[in-house]
Amino acid sequence: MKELFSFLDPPFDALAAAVALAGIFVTFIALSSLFFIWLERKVAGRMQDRLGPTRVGGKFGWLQTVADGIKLLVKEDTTPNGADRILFKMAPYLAFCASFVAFISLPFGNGIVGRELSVGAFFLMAVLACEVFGVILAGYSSGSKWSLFGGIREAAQVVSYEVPRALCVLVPVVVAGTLNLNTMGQQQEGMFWNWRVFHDPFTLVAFFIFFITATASCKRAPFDLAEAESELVAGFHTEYSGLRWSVFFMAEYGSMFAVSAAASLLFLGGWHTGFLPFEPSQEWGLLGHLLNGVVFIGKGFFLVFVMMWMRWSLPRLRIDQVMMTCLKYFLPIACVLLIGVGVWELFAPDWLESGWRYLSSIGSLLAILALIVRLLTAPLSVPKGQLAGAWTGLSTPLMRASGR
Amino acid sequence: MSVLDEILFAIVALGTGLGAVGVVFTRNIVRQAVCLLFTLIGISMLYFLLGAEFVGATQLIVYVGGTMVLVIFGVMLTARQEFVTIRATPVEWFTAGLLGLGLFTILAKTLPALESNASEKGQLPSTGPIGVAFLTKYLLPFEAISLHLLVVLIGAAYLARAKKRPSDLPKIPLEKEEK
Amino acid sequence: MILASVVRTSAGVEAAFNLADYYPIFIFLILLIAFAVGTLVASQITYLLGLKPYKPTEVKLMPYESGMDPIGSARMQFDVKFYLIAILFLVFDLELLFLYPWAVLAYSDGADPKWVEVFRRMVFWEIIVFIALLTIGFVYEWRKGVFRWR
Repeated sequence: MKELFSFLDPPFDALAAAVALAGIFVTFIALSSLFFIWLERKVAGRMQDRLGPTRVGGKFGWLQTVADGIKLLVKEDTTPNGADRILFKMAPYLAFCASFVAFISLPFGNGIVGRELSVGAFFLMAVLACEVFGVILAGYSSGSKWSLFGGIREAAQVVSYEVPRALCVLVPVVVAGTLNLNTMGQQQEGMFWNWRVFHDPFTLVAFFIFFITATASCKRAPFDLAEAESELVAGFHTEYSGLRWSVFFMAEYGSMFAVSAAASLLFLGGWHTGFLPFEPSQEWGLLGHLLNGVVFIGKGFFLVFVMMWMRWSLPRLRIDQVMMTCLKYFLPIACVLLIGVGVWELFAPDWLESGWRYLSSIGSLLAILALIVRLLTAPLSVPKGQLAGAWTGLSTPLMRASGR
Repeated sequence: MSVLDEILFAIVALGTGLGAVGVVFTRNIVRQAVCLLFTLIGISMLYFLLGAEFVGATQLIVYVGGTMVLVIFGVMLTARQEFVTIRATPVEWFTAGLLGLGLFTILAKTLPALESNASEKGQLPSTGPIGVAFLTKYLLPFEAISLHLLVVLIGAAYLARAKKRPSDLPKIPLEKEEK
Repeated sequence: MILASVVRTSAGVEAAFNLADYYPIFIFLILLIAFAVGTLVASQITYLLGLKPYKPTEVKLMPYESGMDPIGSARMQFDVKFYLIAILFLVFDLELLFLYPWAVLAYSDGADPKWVEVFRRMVFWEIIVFIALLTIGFVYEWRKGVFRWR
């Protein structure tokens, strides 16, 4: 990036490059959160057998978020009587800061990164952990009981889910031998069996644990206890309206994309397509960089979509269930994974390593293909009392027990 | 160091200092905690300015993501009134001022004598050398930390379990039965 | 000497320090502040243009309690177990900090292959001891019933 501004004197070329990158990222975050809000409504609609937004902006209601934004901008801002006014106004921006700063260390392609921190992965986790502070302050300063409960729950939940999440980050770090996210991406160059998730059985499990704990620390359903609509009205943002409220949402969608992108960098090959045996940016120049960016953003968007899918599929957990799942399951499992990957690196012979890599990667690919084929060929409507879609013809234990 | 670097340092240092002043002069305890938060973030940025990325990120995760959450929690746990305010007595002002002045004098005296501008030395130790140091030269302290944390864990367990016996539970006044 | 100033991890030599590399972080922060100020200004402008109403009433500014008049202050005491859980996890958080340098280093290629062979095994057992000590704490807590949510 610095090379583009080489016509400037030394300190200023770096500055210009920094401004350009930051500008690109800000635009990206703003646009992607607009897109995510639309997508969330569309996904929710489809999963609940409705259409979702259809009117604003023509065919798919794709201007819905813009209309929402204008509404939020001209909406009355109220600050409740019991609130701590300064903190109340500051809280959303604190949350937004944290999720936004996380983007600095995310490489969107080979070397397309705000700052290639040598501790990128660690920095990402550290900064995302700070987002909780805005939420607690919002909960405290609102002067409403619902907000307070939401804030407290959020604090306990995020502080605890940080631990298994960080342990799961360590698993690929042990394999990579670096915390630099850009280097990690470079290491997974080539075909998809080079992706970290297929490196050994432990990284495979670690990917799923990481994704679940990351969902929890983004306070997304089924772990959205901070805003549980059916219990706490709206949780920590009960008293917020207008722009401040929307800033909280930009923070949430920003951090959702950040953890998804981190997951794709740590486990899913980063910006590599997985089907090109070389680094696109070196072979094709600018076109390769563009391809990298599209692939990286695509992977991030897909994982965000999976989070939405989970949100509308699973019921919310209770607070004690959430905390105990973390303590009694995720923490021990993540610890075992960490030790396991150490043992594997130390003792696994070469034939086992490469064997596992090819078997698991090609096996996963075939399994996914089989699922897609089954989804496409399965009948669209099934008789009452049977499972639909890819599961046609199968039955759950409960169904078997009741003799169907 | 270029001019830009100096300006950058000045901004960060100013922010950190203002946060610290805010902690001293704010009365409301939660706002004090928020000022402290800004100071801690500023310090982590200073670490980044020195190229100590690992320490900077550590500062963020331990103090901002962890300790400050606990502080706010503690305040929320103890705060019974609307806004808890803290007022210092003149004696406290005097003692604190004296101590602060003393510390400032010592720092002002010693700092010029120290080798300055560590950031110009090039290759600064990052995560790798820290790891080597932990696992070879400072192995004993490293394992001792683990022992320390074990003690803390046991202490926390004691705290968590030491609270309620049935007789200590507050009696919930039952509603009077209607005749 | 083991305590080298430059360590070759499997990812290569870490880059030299240059403050200019850190400008993006600070530019990001400046942009953030600009964003915050910008939204505030935008909301003020919409208000001045008369697009945004501001008509506070006593009831509108009441803390929301499902339509009832608020009972008591919202700054009430809550259960201490949230606090204890947070303390517990802070300890684990600290433990993790010390694992990061290990994870980076544990399987690095290094310069001298013979030394690496010794180093890898040694480091592995060191970290096993480290984790084992904390596992004792974890098991103790579990047996003590700290993890029971009451």
